[in-house]
Order: sequence, then structure tokens, then C-alpha cells
Amino acid sequence: MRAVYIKELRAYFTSMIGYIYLSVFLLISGYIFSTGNLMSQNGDIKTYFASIFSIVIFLVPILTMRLFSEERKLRTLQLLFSMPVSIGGIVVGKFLATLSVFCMGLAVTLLYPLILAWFGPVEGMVVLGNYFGMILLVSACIAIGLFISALTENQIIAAVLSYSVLLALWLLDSAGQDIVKGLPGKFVSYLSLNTHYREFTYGIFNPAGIVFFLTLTALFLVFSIMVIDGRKTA
Amino acid sequence: MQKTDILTEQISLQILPLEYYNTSMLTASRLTKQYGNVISANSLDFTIQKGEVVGLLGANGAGKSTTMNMLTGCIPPSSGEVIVFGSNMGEDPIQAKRHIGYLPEIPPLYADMSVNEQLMFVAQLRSLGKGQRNSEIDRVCELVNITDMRKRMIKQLSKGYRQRVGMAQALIGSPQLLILDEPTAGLDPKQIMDMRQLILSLKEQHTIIISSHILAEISSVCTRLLIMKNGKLVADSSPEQLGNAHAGGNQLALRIKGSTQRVRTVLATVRGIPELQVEESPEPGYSDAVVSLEGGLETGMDIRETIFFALAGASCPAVMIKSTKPTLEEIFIRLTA
Repeated sequence: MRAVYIKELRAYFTSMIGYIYLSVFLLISGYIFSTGNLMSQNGDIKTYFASIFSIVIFLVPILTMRLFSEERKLRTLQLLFSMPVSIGGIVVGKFLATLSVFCMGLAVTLLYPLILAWFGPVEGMVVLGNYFGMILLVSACIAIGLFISALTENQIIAAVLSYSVLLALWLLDSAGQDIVKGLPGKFVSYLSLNTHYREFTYGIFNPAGIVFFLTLTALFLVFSIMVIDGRKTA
Repeated sequence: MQKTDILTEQISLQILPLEYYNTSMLTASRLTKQYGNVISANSLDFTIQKGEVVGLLGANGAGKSTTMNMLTGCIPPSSGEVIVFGSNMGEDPIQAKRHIGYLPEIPPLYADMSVNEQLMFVAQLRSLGKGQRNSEIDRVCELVNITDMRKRMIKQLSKGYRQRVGMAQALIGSPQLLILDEPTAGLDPKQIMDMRQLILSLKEQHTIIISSHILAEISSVCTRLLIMKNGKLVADSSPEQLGNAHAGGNQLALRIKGSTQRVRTVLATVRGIPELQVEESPEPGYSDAVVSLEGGLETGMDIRETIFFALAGASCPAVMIKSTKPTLEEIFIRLTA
């Protein structure tokens, strides 16, 4: 797993995807923070996190699209299959490398609450909840993107499909309220990423939310393992 | 021997790993791979002993690559099992794969990595210690002669060098069993010779399974041949045994001083020659004869001596007696046609 993790992390910065992702993420983050907090004289970090998610679901597929698609296209999976390493190790190694790249960008945004603290009081639990929620949420998004990448050899298809699925999971919230009524509506709302993420932005560490994101992540990692195991071809 | 020495020896024998006593490197039992209605490998049974160099032959689509992929754990068999050095590939793939170095037909290389990075990645996958990795990479690079290419990107390498890098990564960690799928495919004659030399040098320390279409290469390197046809194993023996077993028309070619009439008369008197062809030789004053033998040269008395003395007695000296067994190509075509 460690070897795959290091290789993937290095691949992000030899193929430029890592640099492009970090540049775009930090540029948009800086813009949102400047306009939403500094220029509006708003000391609430929630404003930044509420806006950044729509950017994140657009950017995460850029990180995940090549993970397995490229390996399948270049037939390099054959190398991994012939090595003394488990498929679970390969999937988790790739997942953690992608999460690390995301966390690199997120680490830079830790400056924002520090800047806000310079101007006035900042609620520690709200900041912590937002960062914790964001990491849990992105973990689930990466696992979904990883799974979709395992389904196709085409990176563009992987990226577009991932974005569509993440967007749909985000919008399930409003669909549950406006389109589907009653108990089914509540169930649909429960599946929404937004429903569970929102509580973290208020500094509430609801175990249900933690379990939801961790389950979603684990489920799609297991699906990825099953797909890769089933896709062993001659 | 002292009592304590005997005791020590007994203890040391007991603590040796089971693998130490195991001479069978790989066992395939009823190995089958089915894609829909197509059976790519059909109930293959064979055992490969330590130190053997086995050639896997077959026409395109015979199931060689599928078999190799199953042996290396790259694809699971539909039924049957593979045991590598005591470890079952289905039950304990990680342990089984530790003993295998695999070079597929198209070397699986990352174009965006340098040769050094690629080999370092493989060394890490093989769980080599930090201190061991660099020395192991030095060793394999020297072995396949790519030391000067270590900083080059894979995408910049020629087909021949890519093949060598693929070979180097198969050798990392010095696995006991090397499985090489068409290692000389697409190489120029000089590169083919280099690769053949390399394989010959590896014979000492590794058990090797090699598939190739170049039969001369197989016959010069391998001690045993497995021939596949439509997913089935149709022959399993040494090149010599295979030649003898398929020598139905084992023949001798002779050049004899004398007229065709005289030579024919003399050879007709020799017992054990069911078929005889004599024609004029391009060399003036000589005749060329082709003699079919009953049961080949290995059975009973060597008929060459009888023929020699019969001709010598008739003052028709034989200046050449040559066994003309069917070539590997002829046997291959006969078995796979």
C-alpha cells in the first residue's frame, strides 16, 4: 500500500495534475474568502465552506479521473496484479494519495481562520467542524470518483460521470424536499451529502453524519476493489 | 559424531522451512479458463521442478498468455489451482507472488516515470528494505545492461530498452521463478541475441518459463517443452524426447562413393531399412541416399555401423552419415496444425 501511495503522490506532481489542481483550488478559495469574508467584513468561516463545496465537487473528479482509467489503458494494472500486493492495498494507497493532495490545498486555507481571528473572535468548534466535515465529505467524493475511474478506460468519461454523480448526491437534498414527498422524500434527503455536511458547518459533530460519510467511503472503496478484482483480464 | 552434534543436526533439520525440501517450483492442476463459450485453457496439468527452463509453445490464440497470466495470478482461473513453491495462488496470492518475476508480452511500464523510479516502485512493491533497494536496482540494471539509461524517462526509450526495463523489473528481488512471455518479440537481431544470452545466464539461479514463437530460441535455451493447442497441452517433454517421439520417419542421410545402382544394391542387403531413396550427388562420383529406419536410432543395435561396414565391404565408402530427425518447426507444425 505504501509503495502505491508514494507512487500516486509523485504521479500527481510529475503529470502536472497536482499543480493545476492546487493552483485552481487556492485561486478560487482565495477569491471566495476575499469577497465572502474580508470584503464583506464577515467573520463567519461558514460562508467560505458553504461556497467552496460546489468548487470541490467540480475539482475532485480531476484528481480521481486518472487513478484506474490510466492504469487500465496503459495495461500497467498487470504489473500491480503480478506483484505481492493486495488489491485492497492498491485501492487504499490510491485513495490516501488523492486525499493527501486535497489536504495539501486545504492546509493552506488554515490561514483563513487565523486571518479572521486577527480581526475578531472565531469559534474554534465551528472551524474544527468545518474542516472535519470537509475532509469526511471529500473522502466520500474521492471514493466515488475512484470507483467510477475503475469502471472506464476513458479519463474524460470518468471525470464527467464522477461530477454528475456528486452533483446528483448534492442535489438530493432539495429533491427530497421539493419533488418526493413523505417518507420516501425523507429517505432521499438522508442520502444527500448536503444534509449530513451542513451540521458540521455549525460545529455539530453528529455521529450519524460521521458514520454516513465513513460508510459511503468504505462502501465505494469496497466496490472499487470488487470492480478491479473482477476486471482482471488477459 | 558426538551426541550433541547429532542433536544439533536434528534440530537444524527440523527448523528448516518446508520450502527447503520442496523441489517442485510450480504445479498447475486442472487449470481452466473459460470466457463465455470459449475455453482459453483447458484442464492443464503440469509440474515444473526447480532449475528447469521450460518453453511454452503454441500458435497464436493457443492460450499461452492466458496460461501465463493465470500462473502469475494476474487473472483467476475458472477452475483448477496453481501452487507456487508450496503456496496456493488462490488462497495465499501474496506469498505465491513473492516467488514470481513476470515479464508480460507488453512490458507494463509507467511512461511518466524514469527507469530508476519505475524500478524503485517495483522494489517497494516487493517490500525490499530501504538499504537493499538501491543495490538491487544497481544489480539488475547491470544484468540487463541499462545502467546508462537509469535517468531516462520510460516514454523516451526504444522498444528494445523498454523490454530490458521490463526484464529488470521482473528480476528485482531475485524471484526463484521467472515467467517470460515472448521476451524477444519486436527486438532486432542484436537485441534478440543479447536477450538470449541474458536468459542463458539466468538459468543458473532461476527456474524459467518462457513462451516464444522463435523455435530456435526455445530449443537453444529450454530443457523442456510444453506445447499447447486450442487451450490444451498436446506435448510435454524435452526437445530431444520430443524429436524422438515424433521421429516416425527417423532418417539417415548418406553420401557414398559409387554409382546410384551400386549403392542401391548394397543398401538393399542391409536388414532394418524399410525405405530407401538413392540419387546422384551434386559431387561427381558420389551418390546421396536417404534411409528410413525402423524404430529410430535409440532402439536395439546402431544400424549406422551395419550400413558403414556393408558399404565398406563393397568398396563404396560413406563420406557422410547424418541423422535427419524432424526439426522442432516440423514437430511444432505437426502438433499444432
